[in-house]
Amino acid sequence: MASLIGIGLHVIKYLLLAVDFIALILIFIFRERGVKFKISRYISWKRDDLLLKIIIITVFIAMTFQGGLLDMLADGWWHMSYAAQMVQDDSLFIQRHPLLGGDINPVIYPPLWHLQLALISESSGLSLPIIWHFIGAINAVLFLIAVYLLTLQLSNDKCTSLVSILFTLFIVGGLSSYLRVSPWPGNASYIVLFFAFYLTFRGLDEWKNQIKLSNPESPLKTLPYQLLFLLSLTFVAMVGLHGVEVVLYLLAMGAYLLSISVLLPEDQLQDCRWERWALSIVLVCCLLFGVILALYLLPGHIESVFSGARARSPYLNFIFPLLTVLYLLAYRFLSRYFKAIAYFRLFQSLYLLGLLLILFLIIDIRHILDLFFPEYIGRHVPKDSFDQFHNRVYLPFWDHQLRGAMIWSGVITLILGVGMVFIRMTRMNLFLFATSSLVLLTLTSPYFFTLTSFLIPLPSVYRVHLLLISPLILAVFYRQLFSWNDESLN
Amino acid sequence: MVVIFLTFFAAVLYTYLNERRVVVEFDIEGDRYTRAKLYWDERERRGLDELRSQSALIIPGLNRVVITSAKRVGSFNTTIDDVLIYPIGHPLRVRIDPMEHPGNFSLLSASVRYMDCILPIISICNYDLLQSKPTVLHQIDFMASDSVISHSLGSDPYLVWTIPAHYMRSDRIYLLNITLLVIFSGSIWLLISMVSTREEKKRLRDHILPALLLFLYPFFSLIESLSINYYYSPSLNKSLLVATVIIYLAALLWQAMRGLTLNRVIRVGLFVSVTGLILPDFLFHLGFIDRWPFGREPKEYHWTLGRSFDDNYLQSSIKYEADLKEIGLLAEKGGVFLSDVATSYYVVATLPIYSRNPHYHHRYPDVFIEKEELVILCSDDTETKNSIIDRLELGYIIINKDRDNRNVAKSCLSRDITSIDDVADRLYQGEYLNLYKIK
Repeated sequence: MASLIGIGLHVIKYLLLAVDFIALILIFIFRERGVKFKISRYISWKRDDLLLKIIIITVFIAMTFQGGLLDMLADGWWHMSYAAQMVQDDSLFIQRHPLLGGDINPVIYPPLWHLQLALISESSGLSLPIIWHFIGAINAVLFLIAVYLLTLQLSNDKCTSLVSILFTLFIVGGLSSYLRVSPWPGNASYIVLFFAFYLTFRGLDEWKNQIKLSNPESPLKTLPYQLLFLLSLTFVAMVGLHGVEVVLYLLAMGAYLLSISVLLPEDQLQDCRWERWALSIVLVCCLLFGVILALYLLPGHIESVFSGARARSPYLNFIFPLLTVLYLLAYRFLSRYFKAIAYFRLFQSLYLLGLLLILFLIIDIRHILDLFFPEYIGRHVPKDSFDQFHNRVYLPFWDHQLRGAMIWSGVITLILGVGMVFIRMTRMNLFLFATSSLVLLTLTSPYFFTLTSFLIPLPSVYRVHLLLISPLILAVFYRQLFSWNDESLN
Repeated sequence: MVVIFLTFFAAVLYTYLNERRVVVEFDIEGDRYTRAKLYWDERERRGLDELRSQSALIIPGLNRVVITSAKRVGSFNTTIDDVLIYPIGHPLRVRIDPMEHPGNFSLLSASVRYMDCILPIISICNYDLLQSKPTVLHQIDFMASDSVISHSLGSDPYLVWTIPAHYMRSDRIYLLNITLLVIFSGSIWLLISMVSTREEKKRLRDHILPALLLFLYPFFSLIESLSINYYYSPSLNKSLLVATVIIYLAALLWQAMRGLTLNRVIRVGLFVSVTGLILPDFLFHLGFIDRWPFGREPKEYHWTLGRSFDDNYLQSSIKYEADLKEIGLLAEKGGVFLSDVATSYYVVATLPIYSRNPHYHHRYPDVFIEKEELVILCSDDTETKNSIIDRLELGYIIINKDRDNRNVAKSCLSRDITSIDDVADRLYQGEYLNLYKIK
């Protein structure tokens, strides 16, 4: 909008200052009338947690020195040149290629993060490398807070939450421990993704409380709707920062919805019917909005993807994943029927056998072995091949940021993430099961990987591995391992 | 009896899993700067080639170099602790190239160590190459028996040894390992029995649940075999075998004294296994492992203990800010410049001018410098230089003189460029950056 009416960064800087000033006046007026704004209403954690504060302050100080300015020539410099172009053109969108200067499409990359950097540079007069270096410390701390909040919301256990942020600092994989890369737009968006997960579960819990209390307050004034508003802001942020993380959110929550529908016992399933409805509505709305946005903004890209080799006959990239999901969904209905006719055990055995057969058919075993015994070395663009049905499929090169993440912490947390739910059926374990299973299928099944490439650009599909939340899995695993008095593990 | 049986089993398992693994080591001094190399046969692949070789630089008078065998898979080059796998049923061939030029060298020691020995008993577990006669001597004119002090006649001197097939000594190594481990665990068991009460001794006989902990070593071996393309540490393997026996006996004692249940034994086993698997991640961040052992994981992406702001300062554009400010005043907005790749990025992230030397994946059709053109620019060919400058529509050349920045020092544009004065005039000379305007 600002660009359309010819307002540049220089003016925006003063506009933002004006908006801040007006907001302060409004807060003062509302306070006088008895309305209080508290961030803790939306983002709540235990204030008395000294250890958490020590960890966060230590990380902030350490990252101020280690910083986001890598001592290697990485793509961060491209992003800085993008932001520099905004500053130099005094514009919210760039008109020329930031490195080479040729004419380009104004949006060659989602511009929100570069805009933030440009605004900070314009307002402070600091050079972009200096900003890039120090913003690493801020993003690292924000990421730790997001992990802490999500873990606390899902586990309701302070100890697990603290352990999860310790693992976030040490485990290699995802954004975990990649704190020096946190000024990248994709990684900034990944932080927002964690806040989005947190807001979703917080909103669902608050909504459940509201229903129990039968609160007569107007819905729009209640906390769940305000959290929903904040959630929608995180979607805007993710689209503007990098884009891929919105799809990761939808995939993760879709997998979670599927997991609770299939795995939860009947009595617990009834308890969370509101949760399922709410999630379904959010997912459908996001999906519809996403499709409309994609058709409007990227019609050429959509056309090329759906007319390409991976979308052609025999259409197995659609058929196999769809059949797998249908098979999983059928469990609930079939189990009810077989329970009624007293052949439930036999049904369970046959169903499990069928599932193993499907996994054997859709997973590429050689690709898994390639993780340990590499034959193909490649990066960025996934490796393409034809399956035995002459269907074009893709799989990621393990070398592209995956091998470091998978051996060994990734492999072990993948196994734990999938397995823990069968020992203890908690919401945390269900969520970790959903995300871990999704990662397992996407990285090892060419059909799931290729299908995901219709939602995420093909070179970015490997980013699904970011949903393997190793720090949470390990924190939950160790916590449950040392619950000595809890006999449910026996 | 149970203790003896399980220890016997552990010793056999260890020997079996490490059978045919050997390390070749030699210690060499030379009289000039040169490179010493080691070649070997591996598994079923026969023949001595570069894929199965390891080399090191020899600096005269300063140090001696110890070279071990190493294994290479793809682009992963493993280092000091690695082993080669003895070929099945074939003699092992080892070739040492002491230097690449004519000159004098001293081969102070050269031996083959068999890694299936728990303790390195020299008479059984070592094969001294200097005590045996090489099968081939090429361009080397003298050799003594204890330490080889020789003179190489040509630029390709080498010695080849053929070592008898490994199975000749397998039975002795099995016997040695079983004896050592049984004596070791028997001693600890004796100690436990001496300090235990009658009641505890009764419980010790009744409980064998900690035996489950002995699965730890086979589990480690499985993980090790899956990781061997990236990382293999014989010393870790041996330590874990011994540690497993100690943990097993300690758990047995603990169980006898406290009444440990199966559930807790499994939990301890799980804790040890999972913690062992994620330990490299911790060691990497704490600075105990210098580089990520499993694949190509850039160290720079991760925080590590001991890293300081100096690394960022030395390898980035921050120290060039004063020079960049001056260049910004002199260069025309929208102008096009050429510099090395790193400096190109540093400049466009700060100034309103454009580069022609980006990374491969940031190239834009037709307006980037080709690799061959870069070589010409670093030469004296003025005529071709001018045609390249015209094609790229260059207005400026920026030369970065910084030698501490690794990213800059890689490029010939910062290192080898000569006679720039024939195509450009110097506008600015800074501490690190020079700006030239094309004539």
